[in-house]
Amino acid sequence: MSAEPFRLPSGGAIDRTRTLAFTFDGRSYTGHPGDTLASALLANGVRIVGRSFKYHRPRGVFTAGPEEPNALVRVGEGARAEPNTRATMVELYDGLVAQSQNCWPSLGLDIWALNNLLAPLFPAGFYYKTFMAPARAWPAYERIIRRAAGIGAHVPHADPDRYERRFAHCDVLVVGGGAAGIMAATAAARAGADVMLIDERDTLGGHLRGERGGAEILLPYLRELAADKNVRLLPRTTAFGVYDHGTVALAERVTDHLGAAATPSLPRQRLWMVRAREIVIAAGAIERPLVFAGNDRPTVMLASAVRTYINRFAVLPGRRAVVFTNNSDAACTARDLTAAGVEVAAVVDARAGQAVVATTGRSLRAVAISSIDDAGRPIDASRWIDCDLLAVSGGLTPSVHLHSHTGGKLTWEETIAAFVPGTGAANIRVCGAARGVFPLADSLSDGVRAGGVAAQALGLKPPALDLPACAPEEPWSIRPLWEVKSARNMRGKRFVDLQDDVTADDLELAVRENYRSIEHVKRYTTLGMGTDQGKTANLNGLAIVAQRRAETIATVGTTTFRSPYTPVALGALAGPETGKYFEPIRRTPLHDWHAAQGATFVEAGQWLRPRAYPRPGESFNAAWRREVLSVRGTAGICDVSTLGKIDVQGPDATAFLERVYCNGFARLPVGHGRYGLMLREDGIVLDDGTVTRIGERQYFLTTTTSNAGRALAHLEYLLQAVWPELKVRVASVTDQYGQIALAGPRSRDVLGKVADIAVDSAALSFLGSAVTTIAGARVRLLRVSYSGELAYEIAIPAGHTVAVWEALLVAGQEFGLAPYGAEAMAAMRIEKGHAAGAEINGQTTPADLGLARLVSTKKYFVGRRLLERPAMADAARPTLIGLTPVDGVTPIPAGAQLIADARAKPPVKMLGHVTSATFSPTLGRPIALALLTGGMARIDETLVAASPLDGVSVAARVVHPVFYDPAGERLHD
Amino acid sequence: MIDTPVRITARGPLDIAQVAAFGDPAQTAARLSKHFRLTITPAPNRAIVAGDLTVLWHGPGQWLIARAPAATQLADDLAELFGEDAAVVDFSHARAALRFEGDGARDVLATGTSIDLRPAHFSPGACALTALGKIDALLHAVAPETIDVYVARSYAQAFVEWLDAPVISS
Repeated sequence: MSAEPFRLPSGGAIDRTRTLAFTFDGRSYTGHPGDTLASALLANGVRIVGRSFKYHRPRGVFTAGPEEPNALVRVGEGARAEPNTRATMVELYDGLVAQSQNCWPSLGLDIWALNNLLAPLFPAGFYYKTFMAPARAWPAYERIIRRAAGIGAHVPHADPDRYERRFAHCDVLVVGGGAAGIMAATAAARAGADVMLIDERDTLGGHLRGERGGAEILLPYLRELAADKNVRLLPRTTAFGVYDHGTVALAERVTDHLGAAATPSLPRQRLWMVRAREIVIAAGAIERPLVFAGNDRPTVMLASAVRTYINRFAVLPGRRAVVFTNNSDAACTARDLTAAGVEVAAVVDARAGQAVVATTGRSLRAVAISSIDDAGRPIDASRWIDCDLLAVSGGLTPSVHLHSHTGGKLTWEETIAAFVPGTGAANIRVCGAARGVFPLADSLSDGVRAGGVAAQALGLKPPALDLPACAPEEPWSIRPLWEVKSARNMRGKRFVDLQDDVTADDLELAVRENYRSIEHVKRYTTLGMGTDQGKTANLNGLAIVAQRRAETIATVGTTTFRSPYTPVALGALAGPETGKYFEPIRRTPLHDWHAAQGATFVEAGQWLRPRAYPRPGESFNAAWRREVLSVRGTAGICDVSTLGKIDVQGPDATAFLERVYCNGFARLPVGHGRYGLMLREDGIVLDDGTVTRIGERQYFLTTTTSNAGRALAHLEYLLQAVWPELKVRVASVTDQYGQIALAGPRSRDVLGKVADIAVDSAALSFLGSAVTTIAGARVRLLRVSYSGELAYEIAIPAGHTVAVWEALLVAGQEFGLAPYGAEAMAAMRIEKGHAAGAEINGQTTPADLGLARLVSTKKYFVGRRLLERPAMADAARPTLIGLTPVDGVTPIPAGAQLIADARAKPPVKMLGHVTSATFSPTLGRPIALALLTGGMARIDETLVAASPLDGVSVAARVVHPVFYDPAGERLHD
Repeated sequence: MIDTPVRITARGPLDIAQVAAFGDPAQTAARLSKHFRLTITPAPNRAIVAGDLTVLWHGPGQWLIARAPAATQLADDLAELFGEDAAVVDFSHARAALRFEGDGARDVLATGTSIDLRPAHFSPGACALTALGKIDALLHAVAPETIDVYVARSYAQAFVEWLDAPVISS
């Protein structure tokens, strides 16, 4: 047999000068540029391309477009393999590797096809019925069913490809580059609009490309559009969702069609978010199959697909054909078949009371024909006709999906036996076949109309536009034939949904079992629930349901159309922001210095903070423990630039802060700072930090690193929504200032060497603030301590931070000053019992954190009222305590639950949990902070810190949460 | 897709300050206008360039003002001008500014922001507070093919990494 035995010697839009090699299920075939995988398989005589979902029946290519229910294959290999790809949409490239799915051990011999013989056991809803009892066994059944059913296997590898995101705006977005869409785009562009015209196929032209003569008449318009700089043409792009305010999501397949020849700098796919002022939907129509016994056999094929394979791909889907239709489509299909040299054995026209009632052959060998009555029942003896191709057409269903995404209504149109768009979004115009306008001449002018209306809505003048001449057509006519009943002695499954193996009998059963809503029928039978979302199936299905319920189709209505219109790769939705690009990294002004010193880093939100500075040969643990001891013994400096910093100024700044913080600020003098505790409206602690009064009407606030954004938003909200009358402005100055903590008993000596002001205890007392110059930079000092030592925080215009840092290091050398990281800082704050993120966890009140004494009783502040609720003062609330292991050496795991007795039988009463834990280098033993019911009343009790996930439980004694210098003598010195 | 060249340069050094009205934005705008001898209005998303001075809308009643460094600090000058009538904050170290020039400038930026950057809609004199990728940014259309981007200093390197990332095909 020659290569491509079913390829015509001439014609079609393929490039015969080049040959492309590809494999399907390991066998080598050839095709040409212009082919799809489906057309190339058909050219090579491959008829069976997959097995069906439930019954594992052999299936072939059924359509030539995105609606394909059958020909789902796995394309590519390894990590690049993509399951459930429609062979009709895969453009052939050299080296393409495709595999059939859902078959084991092979396409030809599929043992699950036994399901076909067991079919009576697998009616609609069979999962629910057969496997319900005993309920306990369901997981086991489910596993087996999932293996037997289902389509395609997932690819368990990371996606190696790149995906891009692009935003775009236009005046008019035209979805669909067929006859109507091209005319609409031309009309809008000529009116002066900024136009995007997109189409899911590789080139524009729409269904005409599959008809005799091709899209020739549209070429002048396409050339004009391509030359217009206000027009963007996007082929290989699917509009998969329409959202509010003219937002349309597009998936562009940029290099999928190139295989290994793809330019590496280009992404595989690109997700477009388009905001269009006007949307024209020219999405065309999808041909419906007919429902009769054995209608799923390869090569039963949609008539329009048969014409497309012949005209566009020069492929014969068979050599002896029967045409079965209920509409005016019959003549042109027979004509094109004959012209291509295919023998047309019969044209079976339902309009004349004829129907195909049965088929035979693993791949189609013959069909049986009968006369039928109005209900589709065979009324005479059938006769068999040999054929290897059956072209079917049950009419055209307008693609109303996108119109419906934004809630557009549908209207039943009897003359075409389909739903057409009714009222919808004000800026969406539907035209052409998508609106049920089928004859070409009408569709062209409907496109011009829609483009003109869109232009007019934009205030533009629609241009006069000459329509291309097209051949006269027979008027569209259809006789609805929703199903052909089985003939006596010729039983066979009558499929409605090919992808999900739903038959007319399944739908009948659902109705008999009193499923009323079409949405319930859908879910019970799985009608339209495959990856094709029932594009070829749904209307036939709901017509059959309507007929069984003796209602009109309009009454039964449709199921909901949801995006995506066709499947979208998850990679395209994720876009480029994956892996190390998932979040932007925020760096402090000292970042490069830390990195050069070999610091290890830790993430704090988007920030990277130095965690410790291990010296050569020093372990991480040894490093941060040394850093703690250095601060406690002499002095250290720490980069605290990540703290949130907020400038607050205005005539009402003091009044504002009085309301924002639960502790008092009215008498804070200029040049002094204070610890500030901010509550939410419900009395729960929001954040803590320092407040420095830097002018009569100006304050400098710090917040925790993690709550910087939340605290600023809280302040902005209060000023904008609650007290707009206050003359106060807040601004984030987090990026304006670098911030350094200088801590330790020798810190004053270090500061004294570099500052140009006196920093002794009298000049700069605890919580005192001053401005000085260090290393040429004007900096602000606040004597405040987080470590519990004598300490200062220095705010420096960010660009000078490195100079100040280095000046401090030089000045501190004689005292043994060393940098310390976030780990040492965290350990020292636990030693001091300061609450941080694990304790300020959105559930704790000031009293829970041992800060009740700060809360003012004399003033109003945010959170006060709700803090007075009885539950907020409940003695059983977990409150902050310290823990120390009874044996003095075993670490207490953070997150562990506190219980009374390790041997207690579940359910065990939880008394609290460990919030923070560390090894205390200062005390030489593990310590922890916890929130414990009863809190300080339990001092000296022994509890168990249990962490079953770690398999650890530690006996721990309850102690005061301030482990180190409880009197605070060191920082007040 | 983006086949036209884009030139990206760092702008600076810049002295930057933010001015925020306590009361009527129009009064603050009038004071600024008089001081700089320009016509500054509270209209949103507008920017004015005069010599080395740029005044950018930065929120309701708020402006970001940038100029080349001079003998005195911009924030000090403005604080003196406004006294207690507006909040002036020094932003001279808080922002990094990049200039995008060339035919492809808008295409590059359109990969990261959902605002309409078409020349007719983001024409010279327009500015916008938005995000590029996941980084907050202030965009300023300086000329038809020149767009300035201001990002927070701590994100500057991440922004360059985003530009350099395989996010944008060239």
